[in-house]
Amino acid sequence: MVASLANFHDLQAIVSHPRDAEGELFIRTLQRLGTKVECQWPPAETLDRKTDFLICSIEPTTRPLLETATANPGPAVLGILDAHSSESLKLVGEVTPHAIIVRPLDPAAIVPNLVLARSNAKYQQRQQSKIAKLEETLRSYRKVEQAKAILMHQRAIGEPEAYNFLREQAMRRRVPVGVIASAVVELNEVLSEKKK
Amino acid sequence: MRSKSTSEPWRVGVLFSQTGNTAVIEETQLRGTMLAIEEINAQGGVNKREIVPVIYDPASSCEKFARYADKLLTDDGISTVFGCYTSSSRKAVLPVFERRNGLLWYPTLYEGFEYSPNIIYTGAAPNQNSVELVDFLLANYGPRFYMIGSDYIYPRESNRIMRELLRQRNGEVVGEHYLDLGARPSEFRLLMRDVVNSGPDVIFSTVVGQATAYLYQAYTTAGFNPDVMPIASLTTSEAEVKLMGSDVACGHITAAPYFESVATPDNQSFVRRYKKRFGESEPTNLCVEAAYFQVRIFAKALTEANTMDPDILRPFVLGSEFDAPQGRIAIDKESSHTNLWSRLGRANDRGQFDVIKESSQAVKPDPYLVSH
Repeated sequence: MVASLANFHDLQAIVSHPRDAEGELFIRTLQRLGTKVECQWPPAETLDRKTDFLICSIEPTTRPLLETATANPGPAVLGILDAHSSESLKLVGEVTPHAIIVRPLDPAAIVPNLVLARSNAKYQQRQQSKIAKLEETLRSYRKVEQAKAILMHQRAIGEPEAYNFLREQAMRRRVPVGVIASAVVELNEVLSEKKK
Repeated sequence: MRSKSTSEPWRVGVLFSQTGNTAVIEETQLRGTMLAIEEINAQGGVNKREIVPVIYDPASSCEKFARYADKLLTDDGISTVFGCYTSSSRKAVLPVFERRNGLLWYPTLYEGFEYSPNIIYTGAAPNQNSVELVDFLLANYGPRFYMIGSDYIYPRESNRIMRELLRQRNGEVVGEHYLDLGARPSEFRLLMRDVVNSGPDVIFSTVVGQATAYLYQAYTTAGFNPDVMPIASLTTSEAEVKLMGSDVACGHITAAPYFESVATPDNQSFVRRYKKRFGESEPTNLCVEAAYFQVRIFAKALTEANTMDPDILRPFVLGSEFDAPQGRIAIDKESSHTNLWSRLGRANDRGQFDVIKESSQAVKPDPYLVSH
């Protein structure tokens, strides 16, 4: 916990919340943690700058902002909502902030939820980067299979020879095999179009 | 924020089994880790701060691996951990490291097909050991393979890859058997009867830990000849050879990035330091070496990053190069795996491996075998 608090130092936050008593409480709490705070109200249409936190009232006017903010890799989003408003509840499910606090505001809930929001946001980012890497691997796999089939057909060679050819080309040019395979597939498409 | 002039030590976690079925090899990884930490501290630490290991014994139990990993990353407030031998233990701790954003350094060969932003893999992927091994065995002994493994993830996955490599090269699998990690010598002796009936050209072993000795001993008792039908393995190192006896191991084949016998000045110095610290009769092996060089790479990255925060430290690790005992290696940026040397060794009568084939440089890891 102490370590997490130390980590708030030098971070940036945008507070998109009316500057009422609750809005001021957020600003003061964040400043005490050493975070640079900027208040934006009325809310911006989109998140137009890099920030570590977005503390945002959840209501129809903030929806566009929240939607851009929860796209990856975005800030840690802490939503503030009225529990009795069915509209707010519906929005929470749609914009999926990383943590929420319900009005009336309990001051003791702010820091724990900031910690939670940041932890969840970072975890999501790591998982996203892992998925992106795995998808890239899948794409390469597919390209290599296609390129292999093209080589086997055009050169009348076997599977191991086709693999070796791609691997050697990749090594000679110092690029991943997926890149060479993509080039083979693309070139083949270009050449077969000319024939028509 | 902590002041930059602190002399507070860098605390790291160490998770290798000192008891249980795979302790025989994991203890050597612990020693490789300790040697590196002691050497770094003797040279003044990292940015004048000592590295202090927090060591637990997970006792070859996956539940304990997961529990201690969680304890290290939460209660102990540590983010960098060196550890794990079996794939099952790595799979058990992986979600813990991803959820809590830790950095696990894994110094063991494994079956590939994994990527985690929270793991640095410093052991061989299949393209760095299996491919070379299969080609050599097919060319020198014949196409009929009999697979014997310990019953957990690595042997089954490793054999699935082996089967595929063999299929591409017109080899065949004439037998496949898995025995419990705690299997008894009698079970291996019984299995030798089936080997006789199947008449293979090669036995491919993915047996690990203590049981490795039972397999090779059963082979010897059955009267087989390694010149005609050797046991080939990716895990039988100098440590297992010492356990079974050099007469029993003699003539069998292992593929690995490193053997104690690698004849470079860097390695000869490494072997001398290791024996001086742990005893003349203690051989080094591929797992010791990976456990050792990964700590050195960590320290190098830490010197530059000057923080244990994985998000900051990791970019300094990826792409970094190091003159390891096996030769110059590098951490591959894309895969978080390591460019390693590919070598084939044949056990001799002195408990060492004669290197019979080696790559001309470190081989890029291809953990998903995209190009194989």
